Amino acid sequence: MSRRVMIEPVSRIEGHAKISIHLNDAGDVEAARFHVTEFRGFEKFCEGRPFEEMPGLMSRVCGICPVSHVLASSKAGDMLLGVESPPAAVKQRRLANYAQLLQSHALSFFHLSAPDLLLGMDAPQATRNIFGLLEKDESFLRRGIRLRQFGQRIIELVGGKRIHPGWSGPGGVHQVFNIRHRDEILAWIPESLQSIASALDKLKSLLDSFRTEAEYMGNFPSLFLATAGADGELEYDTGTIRIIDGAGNTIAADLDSGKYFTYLGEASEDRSFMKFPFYRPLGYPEGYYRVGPLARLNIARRAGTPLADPELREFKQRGSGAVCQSFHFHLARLIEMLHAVERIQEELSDPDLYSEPTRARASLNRREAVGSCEAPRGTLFHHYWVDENGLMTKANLLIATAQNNQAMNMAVDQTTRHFLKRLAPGEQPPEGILNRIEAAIRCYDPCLSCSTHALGRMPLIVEWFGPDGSCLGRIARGNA
Amino acid sequence: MRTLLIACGNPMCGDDGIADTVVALLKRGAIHLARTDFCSVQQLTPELATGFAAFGRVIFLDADASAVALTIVPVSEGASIPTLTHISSPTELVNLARGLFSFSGEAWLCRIPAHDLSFRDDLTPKRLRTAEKAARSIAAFLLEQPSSP
Repeated sequence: MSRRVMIEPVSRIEGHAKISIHLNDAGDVEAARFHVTEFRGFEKFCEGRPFEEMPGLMSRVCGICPVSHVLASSKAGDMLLGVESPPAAVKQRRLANYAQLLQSHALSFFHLSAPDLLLGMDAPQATRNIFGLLEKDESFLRRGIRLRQFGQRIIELVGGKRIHPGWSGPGGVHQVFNIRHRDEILAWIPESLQSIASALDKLKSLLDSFRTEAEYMGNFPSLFLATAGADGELEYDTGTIRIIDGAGNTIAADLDSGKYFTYLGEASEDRSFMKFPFYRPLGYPEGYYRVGPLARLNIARRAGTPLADPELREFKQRGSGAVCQSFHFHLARLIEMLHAVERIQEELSDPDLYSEPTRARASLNRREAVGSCEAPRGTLFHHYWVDENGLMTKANLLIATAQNNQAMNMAVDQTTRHFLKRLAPGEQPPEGILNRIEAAIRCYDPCLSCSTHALGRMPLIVEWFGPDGSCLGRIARGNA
Repeated sequence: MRTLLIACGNPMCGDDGIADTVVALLKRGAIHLARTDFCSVQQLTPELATGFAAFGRVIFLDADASAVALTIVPVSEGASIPTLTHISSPTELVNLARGLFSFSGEAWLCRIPAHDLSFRDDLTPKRLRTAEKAARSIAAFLLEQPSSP
């Protein structure tokens, strides 16, 4: 009889999710799905609040990528006021965004995924963590912790605090960036570049041992969506939206992020609180697309910085037109970290960063606005509607992780079909197989707390179900 | 050698932020705590471990809803399996600090009884009394057990 296997919780990701595996009568895998069971409701409880409060509220959506939410929200506020933020604010926001990219990617690579990559997907679960890394390669782990510390320190210097910085709002930012901070940040640059280069060498040396994982853990053509710079360079703040297909063909270019709703739709499924965004001309589900590091590197023609440019060229050779293997999100993240540090160094030499004024002031001039930026996990949109008094009447947050929802489902399905294949009655999936299914999700570095904008914590459990829906077995993973 | 007091908890969640209140009391208290640095964080993150080596003693202050009385105990440093990602436990932090960042000092955990963890940021009389008692106990501990040279 058919059975359903659940993986719940998925470990080493931000937030809580479960995976259900559906088996037919013979025990073959018929389907696998990724469910997000958190619900947060940010879009609802901000109704009635003054739009000026939104950056502060929105920074609480996530503790890993608060800067992205602050920036998207601030830019929506800029639009509601009908102002352009002064150059100082633009530069500070850009600097903080690069710093966040660095620290978030460092967390994802060194803490969440490196245990699989350096210790092996089948390493004992008890040691497949950062303490196993401590035994295996302490310098690697030390570099990772220092990289994240560097990114967080920049955010603290720019925004006043490392987590939930509230220095940016509609019209600009609240403080001048002190030029005394420049030397402290510059002193970190050489070590950071060296650490990332070392991590890149390490990852490239390991890729051959993960050929099967790269081939079958989420390798499929898809659309890719990202912000692109005017000259096709990597861009995380201003630019236009570009969409390509899995062969690298441009499907749409120069799209206005402020009109995202004209070309992106959002579907819902009963099985998950996370939405399923899609490219409208192709409909749902065919119009699913991927965002984030893999998409950005596929879409950019060049990085625009001297060390990242050759890495990007080499990266593109791993695909035909576009790199479609989800596994290569890890490599893309490291290249983005390299680029971010180079950009941080550049931004520090820009006198506008330290200039005044830092804020443009105006009254409400619009009733609807969209702010967007490239968050670590992908393109982020904040869409606000306000009344004549500037009070929020509605908000729509299109989060990066949600935009990868369909792709994560497909990655889970493909991984499960290939590695699990069949489960005999009474048999439990081997731990290494379960870990690979989870690792397929970790490629996307999902931030589920963000994307379901959860009260409290949910234990996650693996469950098997028969065709009649009866539970045949259960495994608790992670922090259940 | 210096002592680092790390208060952990969310000041907007009632007694969860009591450690932060304790640190505030110690900073402005009548008893001068020599060579003591203070730090307040909402969560313990791995990056905190990078700075431990400058101290001969690290003391974690944390609210504990299961504690009936204030206790100060050595941080257990056995093998730990981190189940979360960007959040660390005192054990994990000390392990990282010793293994990666040359920390060789003492590590202590002070558990402060907590009762009300609801969303509030006001300082209730009960919370203030608990915090004052905790501050006196910690000050006495520091004075009775000066860190090793």
